[in-house]
Amino acid sequence: MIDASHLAKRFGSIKAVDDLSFRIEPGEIVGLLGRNGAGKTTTLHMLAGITRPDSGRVSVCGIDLLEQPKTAKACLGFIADEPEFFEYLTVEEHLKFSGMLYGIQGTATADALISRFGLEEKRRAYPEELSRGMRQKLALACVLHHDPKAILLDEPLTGLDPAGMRDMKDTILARARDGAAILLSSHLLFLVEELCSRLLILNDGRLVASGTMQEIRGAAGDGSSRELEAAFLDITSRPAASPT
Amino acid sequence: MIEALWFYGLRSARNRIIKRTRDVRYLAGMVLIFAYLYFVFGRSMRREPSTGSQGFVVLGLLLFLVISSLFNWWTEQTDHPLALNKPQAQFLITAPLASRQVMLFKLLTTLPTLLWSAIVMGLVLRGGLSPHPAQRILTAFIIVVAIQLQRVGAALARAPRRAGAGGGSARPIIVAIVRIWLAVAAAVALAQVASVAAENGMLGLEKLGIPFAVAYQFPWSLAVWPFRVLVAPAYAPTLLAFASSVAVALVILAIEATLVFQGDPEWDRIGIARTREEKLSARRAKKGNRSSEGSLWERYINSFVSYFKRPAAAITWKNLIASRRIQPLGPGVVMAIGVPIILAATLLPAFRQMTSFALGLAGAWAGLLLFAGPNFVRNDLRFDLPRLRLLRTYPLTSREICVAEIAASVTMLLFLQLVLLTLSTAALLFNPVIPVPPGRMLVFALAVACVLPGLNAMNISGQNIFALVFPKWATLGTKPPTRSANPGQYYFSLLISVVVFVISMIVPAIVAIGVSAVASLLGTSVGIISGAIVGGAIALGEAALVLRWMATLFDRVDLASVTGD
Repeated sequence: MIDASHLAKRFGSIKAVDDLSFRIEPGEIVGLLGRNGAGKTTTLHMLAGITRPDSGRVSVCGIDLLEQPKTAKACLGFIADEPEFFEYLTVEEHLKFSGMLYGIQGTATADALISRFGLEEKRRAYPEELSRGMRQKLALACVLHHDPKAILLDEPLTGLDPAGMRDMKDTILARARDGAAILLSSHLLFLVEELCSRLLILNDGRLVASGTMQEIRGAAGDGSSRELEAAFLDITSRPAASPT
Repeated sequence: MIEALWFYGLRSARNRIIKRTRDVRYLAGMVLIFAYLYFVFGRSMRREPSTGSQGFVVLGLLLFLVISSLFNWWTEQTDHPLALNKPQAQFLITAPLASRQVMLFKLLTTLPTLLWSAIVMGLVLRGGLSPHPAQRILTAFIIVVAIQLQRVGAALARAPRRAGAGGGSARPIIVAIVRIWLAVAAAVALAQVASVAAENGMLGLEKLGIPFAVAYQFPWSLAVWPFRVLVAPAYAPTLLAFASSVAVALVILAIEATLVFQGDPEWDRIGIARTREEKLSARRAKKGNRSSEGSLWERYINSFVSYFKRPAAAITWKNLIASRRIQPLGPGVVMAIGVPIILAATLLPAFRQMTSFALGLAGAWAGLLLFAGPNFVRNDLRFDLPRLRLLRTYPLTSREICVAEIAASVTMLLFLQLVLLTLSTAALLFNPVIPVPPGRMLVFALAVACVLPGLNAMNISGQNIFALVFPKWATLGTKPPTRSANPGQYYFSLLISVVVFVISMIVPAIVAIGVSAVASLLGTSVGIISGAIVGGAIALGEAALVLRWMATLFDRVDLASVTGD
């Protein structure tokens, strides 16, 4: 479960995120949408413990991230839009490293993940030798290694081929079925339509709309059900105000 | 089109200065740097240089120049000196620019850094050189520009030929000739240094009976002549001599530049993507076995780190693994073993007269490891800060991350120091020239071993804090510290770290002396060991306090300031 309450973050004079509150239940996949610069990545960074909010609270699996960051992060997984790796560790060593960090004994889980993501042949390759899709798979394998109960994904399909996209979508759905709370940020509306049960739309750092797909479609304009794209453009073109 | 390059270069420099000076931290840092330079070097600018070191600084500059050139032509460079960063590659390679325009742009953009190096070198190096700082700074600038041109020239000359390009057969011959010449020049320059040292009765070289002075005679002196020309303006006694020596040096630089601009860089090969591929190819060629279980060193690392059953040990493990792959410790290990072998050789009567030389060498290397070691061994936060976003997602407290990062560098440095200390002590134990009895020598060695962890922890923590406070001024990531391109920056940071280190050691030293004096009542050896243990413990305690502060800084450091975005 992920619970954000009145989150706010400023960078100088810019309000990146302003009074943002939401909750994601176990097994739920929630999409985070917004135009460029709307505050999506800052939100994800605050939820992952990368950036400290100026005010507000974040709770992951019922644990306060700001008060008990260590315990909270132990049940959290985050994949950045540009996954980062250590260029001097091989694929299998990255999994060994992530296992050590989360106190996982043995290599059984790592081996299973390598096999599941088709990384056997690249087991001893360095990240620079991997294609974009392979890197994405490695990032996902490292994150899934400790079986997180809350997962944050920033543009997870970037650079993936159709087969890779299918794999990634299946993995996300499988994790949700296993009870993980997932927050997914993406500009690919077809992806959020396919995976997410609920949406959060940010504009200028404020939550301007939230609800199920049906509610978001109906929230814009005259209230009739429309394409998500039209609804999104309509909602984000209005000045930021209280959520719909 | 070249106007665009000028605009980019000048506007970037201007914006960078404005941005930095608006940041209170960097503004305060700049004020401190200039105050430091003024009080330490500036106030004594007008003094006559000391004659005691006459010749050594000149020879040091000469040696620096020759060794840098030798290094550039003989060793593989991690990054091509003309390699473009991501935005440069994106805009410049695709733009309708002549290759030489881009090359000129790349060379000109390094000039501010080279000028800063020259200023620091010119202010710091005084003995035996001109008393006028401007004269020394200008000479230092000529020297660093020459080295930069050498780097570019060497990289271009050694690059593989473009497919289908003709006239490539002469290039390997030219490269081979230059390499041989530089090897001879380095030997001659070293012999000239040894000659002056022998004349001054230093390191016991005069007792070796080697005619080092031959290196000053024709034809050997010819090998270093071009380098001497570049160094000459630094000690020209009159304005006329200075002007003429600068003119000759500029002719040499012009020849170097002309040769460099004959090169036709293949930007697609030295741009970002290709550089990575080249690095990987080099790595593949060097390392056959990439398994973490593969090498002896990595097996030891695995068993050493698995002893600590804590998640934070994963970071230490990762950094120690990197020590073999990114920053090989080979040269350090060779020196840590080689120096004691030289010391052991002095046990033989034939080499006994070399004892003072060998001791000097061991002392110099030990000092270098202690003071400059943290600048070379940097498998800590300085390595990982560009991945700050990733570090912050780990289920570890900031303090655990900082301690684990520092532990890796301390372990490596300590390993090198203990190898040197143990082997050197063993080599000296029964040397009749040494006036210290074996028992006392063991006590001294044990005392040093007790103090080293605290000293290293404090020193490396200081370097990491500097990187956290001034990330834009520190070398971050796995890129090795800049060498010949930026000696001034390196020299300056070394000086700062030594000053901070010395200040931080005042309290441990005072307490250690006090404890030692009291405990000496029970015996001298007890006094020495007690003092060392207490002093080392206090230094470790200081490091623990510093690490607490470092963890706070780690929490506060701005993501954008270290990720390079």
